[in-house]
Amino acid sequence: MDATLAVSATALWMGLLTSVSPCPLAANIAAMSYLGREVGSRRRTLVGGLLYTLGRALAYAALAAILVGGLLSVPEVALFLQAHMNRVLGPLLVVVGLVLLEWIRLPGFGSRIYDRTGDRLVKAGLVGALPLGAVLALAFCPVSAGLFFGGLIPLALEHRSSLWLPALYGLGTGLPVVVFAVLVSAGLAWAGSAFHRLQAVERWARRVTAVVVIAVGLYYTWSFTIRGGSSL
Amino acid sequence: MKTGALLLALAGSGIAAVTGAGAVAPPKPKAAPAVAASPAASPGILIYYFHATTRCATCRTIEAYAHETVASKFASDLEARRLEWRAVNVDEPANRHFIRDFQLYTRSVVVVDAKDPKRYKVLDRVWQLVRNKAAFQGYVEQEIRAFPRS
Repeated sequence: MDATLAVSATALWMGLLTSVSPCPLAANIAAMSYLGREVGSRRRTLVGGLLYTLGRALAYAALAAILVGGLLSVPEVALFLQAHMNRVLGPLLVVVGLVLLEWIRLPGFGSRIYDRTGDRLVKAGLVGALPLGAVLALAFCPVSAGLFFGGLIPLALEHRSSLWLPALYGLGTGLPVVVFAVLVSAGLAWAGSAFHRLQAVERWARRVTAVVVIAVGLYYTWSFTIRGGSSL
Repeated sequence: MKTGALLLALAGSGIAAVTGAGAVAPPKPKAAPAVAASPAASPGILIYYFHATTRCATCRTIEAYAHETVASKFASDLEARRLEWRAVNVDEPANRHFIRDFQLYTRSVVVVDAKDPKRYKVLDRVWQLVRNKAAFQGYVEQEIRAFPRS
């Protein structure tokens, strides 16, 4: 029992190390802004954060199942994801930022059918949190690749755990993002109510989120898509 | 609105670059021995640090700590050429084969038997220990000492 606890704690710890590493921090800042933009609704931010974490956990568990099952080799998967995911991520984040700014409208947005159903953008935000978590989880940088492929996968192989340990690792990578997103949301809500300008704060929070997401997207586009990244 | 179009164009060019990169398969590196043979005074053990052209802050720390460990703990071995430190950029075409030779998945410290390069060990735990210099250097030193000499 102690051994199981120790192994579980190690997987969680490696996830936490991944989330605060300098390299994935840029992506995490974009995620925090995305999740924390719902001013005055800590519950919604929390649900979004949990969905985001679930997305990460599912992505890592699926990847671990493939690797622990021996379907593909670790270098094969690691190099493919590092070569391609980061290249796709930059342009994708720029588009997400432009959608948040409402400079791009997704098909169907603003339609009568939707307007009758209610707050579509908010729903889209919650639904988007899960795939956002999964995509960001699979965008490996050197640090996260080292911790996942060199730390977690050997541990999962040793303990034949393709679900539990990767899910704990995913939880570790998502938790700090959730905590910060809730704090940001609460802070903005406090500022909004203190100055009796909740709507204005909400509008600006959304714009700042969009700018942060676009900035991170441009950084990824420049570093990985245009400059081409590297072999490792 | 113009700025939006500009950003969209940049994102689009990124997507085009991705599609383009996916369409052209990179040339396969020639099968080459992992370590070039040097007839006289060849070292027994090689300590490689494999990096790419883009260097992240943590990657530099790992290289610095590992190099420092080798230089301070194995000074006599380095001087007698029983051991050698090599930093290699795997983005250079001539070095790409190392990725396959040592099954690399990220920037790595690898201990290699110079006489039989198929005997090697990738020091996986450097990423977990990089925030604790003493533990990191203790781990690297222990792995080098424990590596069986041929």
